[in-house]
Amino acid sequence: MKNPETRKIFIYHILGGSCNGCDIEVKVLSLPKFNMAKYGFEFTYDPEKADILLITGILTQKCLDQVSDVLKQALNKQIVVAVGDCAVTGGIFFGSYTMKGPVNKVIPVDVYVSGCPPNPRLILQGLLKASNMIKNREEKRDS
Amino acid sequence: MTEEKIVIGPFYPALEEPIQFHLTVKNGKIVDASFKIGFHHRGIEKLALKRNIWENILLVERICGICSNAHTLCYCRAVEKALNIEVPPKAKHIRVIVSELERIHSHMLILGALMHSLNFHSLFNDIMINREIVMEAFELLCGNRVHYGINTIGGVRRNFPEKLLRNILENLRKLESFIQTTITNIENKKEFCEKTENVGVISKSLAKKFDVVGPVARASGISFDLRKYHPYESYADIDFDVITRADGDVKARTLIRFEEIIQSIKIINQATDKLLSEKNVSLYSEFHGISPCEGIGRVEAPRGELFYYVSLTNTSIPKRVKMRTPTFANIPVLSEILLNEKVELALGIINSIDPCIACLDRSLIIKNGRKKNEKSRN
Repeated sequence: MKNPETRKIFIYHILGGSCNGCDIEVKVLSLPKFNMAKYGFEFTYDPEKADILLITGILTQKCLDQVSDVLKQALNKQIVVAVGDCAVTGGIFFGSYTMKGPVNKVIPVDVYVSGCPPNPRLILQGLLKASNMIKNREEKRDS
Repeated sequence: MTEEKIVIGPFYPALEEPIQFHLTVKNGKIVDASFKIGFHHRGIEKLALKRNIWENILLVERICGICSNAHTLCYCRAVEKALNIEVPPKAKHIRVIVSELERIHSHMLILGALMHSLNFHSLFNDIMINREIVMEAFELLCGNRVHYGINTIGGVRRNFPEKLLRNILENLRKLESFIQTTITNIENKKEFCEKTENVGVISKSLAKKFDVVGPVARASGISFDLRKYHPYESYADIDFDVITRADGDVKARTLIRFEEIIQSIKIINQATDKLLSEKNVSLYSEFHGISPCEGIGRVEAPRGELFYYVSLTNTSIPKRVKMRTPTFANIPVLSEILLNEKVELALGIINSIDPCIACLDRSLIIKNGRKKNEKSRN
């Protein structure tokens, strides 16, 4: 597990109140066409096990209440990837009364993937950037 | 045996979107079911009053990422009706083609999710891989996989080249043969029938009582389809069947979606022929001036009837935009059909009515909300 090239990178996906567009494009990544398993990515449903927190949507108040514990424990531990214009800037829903985002207002973001919704290949590129960050972090810790 | 309470959601792998179900279970059977919604509420009806009628096309498109074209089409039809705008024939055919392509990908997505929740993982994979045929077609035709940006007030924004359409029709033929083999495979598959036959039955009387719409109603024997009985765009000149089934169980709701995909491919074939033989080249009709008026739009979205109401004043900013989505009509029936079913089949039943939560979350109930929110902020 210690070798970063062979280890798996677990992703925990938070749906923060979006239109589903990004959520489906993220789920599609596991198909053979995009083949995220090739790069060692895998979805997990246990937030503590995750290496990457992938957040989509504007983070509505009701969603934020549900995931605030997950976000608190993620600080300084996990790489946060914001996917989609809603998560990056608020997008078309900017100014909505339920909006508590964009994501960087709540938690520091490491990788931004913008687009409405971004192409799955673009999301994969963002995830690869995040996995490089994890690799660098682990190398620093080991040395 | 004591009663147990089970909470599913809001973030649960087998559910596509956040919604919370509270189930009370006794002897392995559900005796009480309720649900909590509002996680995806984004205040769109309020936001629509801050923007003008053209900006609102982009806003209503982002209500839902699965049926985004149905929303823009319905909104545009409401505004066109209010302002008395006639859409050119070529635009009508293009709107039909995009609507039907969207129906195929939406049905395939929910069929995949349904197979996933019933533990048929290889079938889930097959369906999702074949769904990419339609997504690729969207990417080539509209430039985007999810939000197509094809409708505008008075017509459509782009034309489709002939060569591309022919290519896509060829790919759709492959998809049709896949759907047909899947229907014959699963119709008599023992494992599938055990989990779906006589499960979550919506009888015809129950369907009428709860006013369910779309494929859910058609699976219960109610033959209603806006495309056939109140035709809009160029559906009146197109020959297709409204498919109904009498059983009303999960199996009927699954198979009806497979069969509707075949009908959609039939419609696309006819609409493409009509589009290519059309001599009038204009894609949209212009209009000048806005006066106080109101209009409604009705469209058969992939999940059922979608309704829009638009009220305009002298300015380009609307006075009211109201939408009623199909899932909003379909979801109350869940609290009835989940009763007396096994717990392990609950997710299959929930997914069989095709809940689209992003569409559904149109309202928000606040109980002493302001005070509660202020506390949590401090």
